[in-house]
Amino acid sequence: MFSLPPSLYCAENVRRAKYAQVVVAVLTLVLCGFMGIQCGVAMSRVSRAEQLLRKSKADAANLSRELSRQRETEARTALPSVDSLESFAVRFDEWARRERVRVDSFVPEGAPVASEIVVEGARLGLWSAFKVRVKGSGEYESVLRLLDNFRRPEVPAKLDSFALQAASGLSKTVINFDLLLTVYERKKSSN
Amino acid sequence: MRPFNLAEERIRERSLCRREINRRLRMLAALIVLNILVLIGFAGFKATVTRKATSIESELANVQGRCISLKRDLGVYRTRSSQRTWHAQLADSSNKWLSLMGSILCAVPSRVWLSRVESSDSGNLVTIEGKAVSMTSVSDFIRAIKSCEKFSDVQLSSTQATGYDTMSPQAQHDDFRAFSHGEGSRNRDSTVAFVVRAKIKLAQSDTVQAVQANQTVPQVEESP
Repeated sequence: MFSLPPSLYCAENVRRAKYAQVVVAVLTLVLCGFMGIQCGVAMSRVSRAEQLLRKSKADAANLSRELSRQRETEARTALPSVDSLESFAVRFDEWARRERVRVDSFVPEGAPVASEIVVEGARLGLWSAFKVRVKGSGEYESVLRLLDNFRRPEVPAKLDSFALQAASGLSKTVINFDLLLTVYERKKSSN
Repeated sequence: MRPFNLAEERIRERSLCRREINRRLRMLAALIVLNILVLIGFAGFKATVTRKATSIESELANVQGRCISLKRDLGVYRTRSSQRTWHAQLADSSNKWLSLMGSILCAVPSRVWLSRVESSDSGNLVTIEGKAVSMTSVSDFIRAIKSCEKFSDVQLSSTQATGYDTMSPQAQHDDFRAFSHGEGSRNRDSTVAFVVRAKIKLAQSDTVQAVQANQTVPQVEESP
């Protein structure tokens, strides 16, 4: 198999071959150990990534389900577009016209108060609260129906106080109303 | 004396060394081949694992990106949901007044009709003005309001006997004609004008809400 010059077959070279064999064997052990560790690390990385992937997929599925629920809710109860004093005035006028109620005046009183609205931990941004006095007249039943609109969460406004008074002279069932409302307007970011 | 061949000894020793060296060299070669095979195997395994890890990490990045996007969308919907909750709280606040008004209107007995219903700016007092055919009717009305659990204190503020006949036709219309209970009284000779003040009963949770009705939204945490 191996054919070396006869002079190399000596006890000294036997010892050298022995050392070389030991060195290579140790090297092999070290190499195998290193490779084993590397394989273990790589396998553990893959395993961790797989676990993380499974968890992320589960999270994504949960989020997706919740999102579709929220979308369904959103579709059922779409958020009204009223978020300013002007749009509220338009909406109020629509209600009044629908109920055939006459609005004599719609007057914001005093300076608006800006504040940040936080509901259930969710920040809704800065909103200005306007005090608005609305005066008008209409048939008794119509005025009540007009006021009933404030029972529905359609507008960022609330009824603070009211006064109803029988109207003079007109039809028997006509009443005057004087409402004090707080209307919220979304404050636009200055930048 | 038998001749001694020194070369023979050396030849035997060399043969032994040769066998030993060859054995060790074979083992050495085997170890080297083993090393090479281990290296090749490791390289192949590592490439496979790296490919798999890369693929998983890439998919993970996609899924995590999707999660972030879903969370962002969800945040928007949650904000809208909170806004709806806020609107519902505002509507609830208005509803308290409207149901209060409804309670007053429902409490009006026959032979009593109202001319004015007004809530005070401070938000805890309602003033009711009206007319009745007799003090008994006024008393019935006050008793009916007192029986309503929404009011804590109902007091007759003033009464004044008025001759109905002396009222001008204009004045006769100054009533809530919707309260037609009063219609039957028109033929009577006299009426009693009355003013009733009713304090609104405040639940513990509603105290701030009703008393400070002219301030910011109740039940809503605000920071200036």
